[in-house]
Amino acid sequence: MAFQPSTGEPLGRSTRSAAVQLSGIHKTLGGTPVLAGVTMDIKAGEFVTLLGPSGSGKTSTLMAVAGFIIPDSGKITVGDRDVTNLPPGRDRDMGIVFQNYALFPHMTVAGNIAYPLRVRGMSKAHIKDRVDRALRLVRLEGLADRKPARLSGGQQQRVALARALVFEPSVLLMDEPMGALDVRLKQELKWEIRQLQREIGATVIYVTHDQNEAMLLSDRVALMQDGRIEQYASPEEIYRRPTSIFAARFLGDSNLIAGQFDESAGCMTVAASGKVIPAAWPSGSPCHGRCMALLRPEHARISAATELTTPHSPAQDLTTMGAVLEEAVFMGQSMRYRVHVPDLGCALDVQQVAGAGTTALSPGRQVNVSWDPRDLHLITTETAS
Amino acid sequence: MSVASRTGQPAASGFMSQGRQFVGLAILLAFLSVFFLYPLVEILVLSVIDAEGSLSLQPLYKLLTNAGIQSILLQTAVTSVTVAFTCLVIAYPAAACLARLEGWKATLGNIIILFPFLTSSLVRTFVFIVLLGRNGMLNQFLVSIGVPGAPWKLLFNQTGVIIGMTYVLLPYMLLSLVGSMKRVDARLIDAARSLGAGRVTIFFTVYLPLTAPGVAAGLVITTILAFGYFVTPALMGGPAQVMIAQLVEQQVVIMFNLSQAAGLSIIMLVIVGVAYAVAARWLGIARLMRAG
Repeated sequence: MAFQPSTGEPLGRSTRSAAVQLSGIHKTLGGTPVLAGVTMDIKAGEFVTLLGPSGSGKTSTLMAVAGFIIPDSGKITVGDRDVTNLPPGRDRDMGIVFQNYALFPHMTVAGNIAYPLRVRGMSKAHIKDRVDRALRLVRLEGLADRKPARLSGGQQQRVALARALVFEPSVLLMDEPMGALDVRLKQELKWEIRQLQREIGATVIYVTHDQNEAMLLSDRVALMQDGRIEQYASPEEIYRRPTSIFAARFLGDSNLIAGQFDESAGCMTVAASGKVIPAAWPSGSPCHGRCMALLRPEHARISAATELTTPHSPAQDLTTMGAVLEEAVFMGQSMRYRVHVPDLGCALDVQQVAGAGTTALSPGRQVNVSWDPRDLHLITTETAS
Repeated sequence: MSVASRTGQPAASGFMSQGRQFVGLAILLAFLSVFFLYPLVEILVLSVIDAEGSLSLQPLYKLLTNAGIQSILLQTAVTSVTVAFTCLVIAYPAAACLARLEGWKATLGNIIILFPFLTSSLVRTFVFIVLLGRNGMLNQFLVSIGVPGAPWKLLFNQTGVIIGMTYVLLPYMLLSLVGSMKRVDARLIDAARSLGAGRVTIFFTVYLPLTAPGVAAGLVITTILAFGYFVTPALMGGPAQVMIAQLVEQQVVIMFNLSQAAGLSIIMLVIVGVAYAVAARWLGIARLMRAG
């Protein structure tokens, strides 16, 4: 695809953003499979994050899209072009923000941003115009003549972003672009990247191991493990309805209770205690016997066990159980409790907003823990046949 | 000097107390004074004492205005610079390959570079005389495949001097280039590719500028070393290829004119010193030290 110099318009909403499709990508490096059948489709203009622990194949997937890894099998398309075996470069038409940025140390900020335009043989006047607009876009107007070594980490990251965007590629790839930055700067830049992407409308594939980054930035998250995608959905969907134990554990904090689901009665038997508690199987999913129940800490509540409540309170339709408070930690916006629940045969983490009216609960106390059964999300642990 | 050790950081302080550091420094300084500064001053004094035994700049002036010596100085300078650039042209691609080696291959590469250092330059020069002579291996080969003009005259002329000195000085150039090339971040090349640059463009816009300190350091080192070279031009050059160091030797051994030998030595020292100062100022001394 030829480069179309559009000089009049500001680097604005890109009409060139393209859909990306990966199907059955396999790659073995040095005898170890790093990608074991990665399949995903990314819509034009979508912000997709590859999230996972190190070694899960997220960077390898990105590098396969970028063309630095040629898959053993499978197909990658951008728009309607097959780019599987295309080397990285002009024909591939992708902007990449590398981990640690890979800025050219011997060039100024403006020189770095101008580089992709220069190698495309654009005229000096057009290059200057484009570079100026890119600098404005990432708010680095005054630093055009600085060398990268004299910039802060956050500024370097913005230069890398401007350099990857200035030639208006159809896809923008970002490999842990905030890995080297401190927490406060990250927080600020997250909002900026989000806003910038919405402004430009580019298709973005973003790699991170930070779940907060993934939640804040993404339209959809591809949660990866062992070279394969565990779940590919919106951050909310993965958080509320994880399809695997791994997904439940990786995104957010979780309490997991092993048990047996009884379809006809609409309840599950807790494996450790034999106790039966109300639970509903997520609609649309096939029913299986053995399962794990996920209860997020913020969905459970505890209260002082001053009056005995029935285990199942029909008035509020809550499941309530007696428990012993083991730990109570003040976390700022909330209190974090760890309670042992004999009826479940395990401990639960509970997170509760620490308002002024909160009764001080001290460890060792008898408490009641309760939750809405609809917040109990069941995950099958039986391998689907 | 090994490639691996040069990337190391200076040893942490605390290894020696301040007092001990001063003692160490004093020993080094004493060594330098006795074995370098003292003879140097002696030579300097010798070079500025005229025939009557009084202090004068006349002897140095006479040397510098001598047409024969001027032409030898010019010959020496031209040869040194030619050798340095020949080294660069040969060593650059070789160093680029060596810099990419890893593990045992890198070790083997370094051994191959350093191997010639284990032999004296006299022996290495004789080896080349065997190779390049009228009936040497190279000419025999050229004649056997019927190259026009063969056998070529490759010894006892400027060609012989350039070939011999290039061979001897090549490792210095290689080491300084490999050092700077190893520091080039491979991801910068990837970045340039992803931004749409072709191989040739990447070489000229990224790789060459980033290895420039090594190029500069290599050129300075080889030029300076070549400037004072003696064995190779003496054995592989003809009468027209006399270099300044040979002239010094003649003055000492044949003419017994220590004063003139000292004068020539001082002239050499000044030329090399000025050349180094200019190079350091242009290229930045820190960069030269780092890359060398």
